[in-house]
Amino acid sequence: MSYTYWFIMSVYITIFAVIALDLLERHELGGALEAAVSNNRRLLYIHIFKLLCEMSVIWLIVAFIGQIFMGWISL
Amino acid sequence: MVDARRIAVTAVTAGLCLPLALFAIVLVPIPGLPAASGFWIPAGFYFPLTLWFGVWGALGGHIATFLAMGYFQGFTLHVWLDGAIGDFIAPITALLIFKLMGARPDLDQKKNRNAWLIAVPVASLVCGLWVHTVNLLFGVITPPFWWVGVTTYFIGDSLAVFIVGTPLLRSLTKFVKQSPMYIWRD
Repeated sequence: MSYTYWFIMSVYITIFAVIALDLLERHELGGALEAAVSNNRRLLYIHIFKLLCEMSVIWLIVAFIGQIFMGWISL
Repeated sequence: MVDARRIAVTAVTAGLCLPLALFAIVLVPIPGLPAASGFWIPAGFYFPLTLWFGVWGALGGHIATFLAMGYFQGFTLHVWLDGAIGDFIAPITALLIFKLMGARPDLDQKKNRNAWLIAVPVASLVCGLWVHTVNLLFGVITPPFWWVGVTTYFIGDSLAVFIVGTPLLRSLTKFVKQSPMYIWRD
């Protein structure tokens, strides 16, 4: 495995960890988050699109790894 | 009435779906079909966004598909437009089914869940029929690939929307409801 591979995988694993922690934080906040979002419309949109972006980046990482296995990206 | 918030929803949807569309085509190509994917992941995003924000979400999906297909040199404008219009028609079809069934996108009641279970495959089929019939009529594909295209769009789009769209609708609709742009008012 190349240095590039390990570096990129380290970044991706960290991104996964950040997303997992964010989802845990969201779960722990529960009603407090809903109350905060209902009082602040900017926070509402930030929250919605942040979660959409998190789901999107997970797919992009899956797509990257998939392309390594298919041989379209070589490291 | 067009205002900045609606344009922002379209722009964000397009920005979110663009890389997903591009790499869905690259990662799961369908041999013999131009700019097609067997797992159309951006649909999992623009379906919920259309059910929340109406035509503005669908327009974002349309723009994303148009630009993603435009990346591939050698495809004609027809191929870009055909797929992009198909990806506008699909979420609008799902939205119409929800309207006709009197359902809401929060999937908290049986009626809403049934609407989702019906709307996704029907919309994916309509999209597949549109895209591949136009391709066939313009001579871009041959008749045997029409069946391949319609079947893979029906299955691939439906799978992506169910896998990605369902948790998004279930987890985020309660927040989106608080937005003045949410199109469903009881």
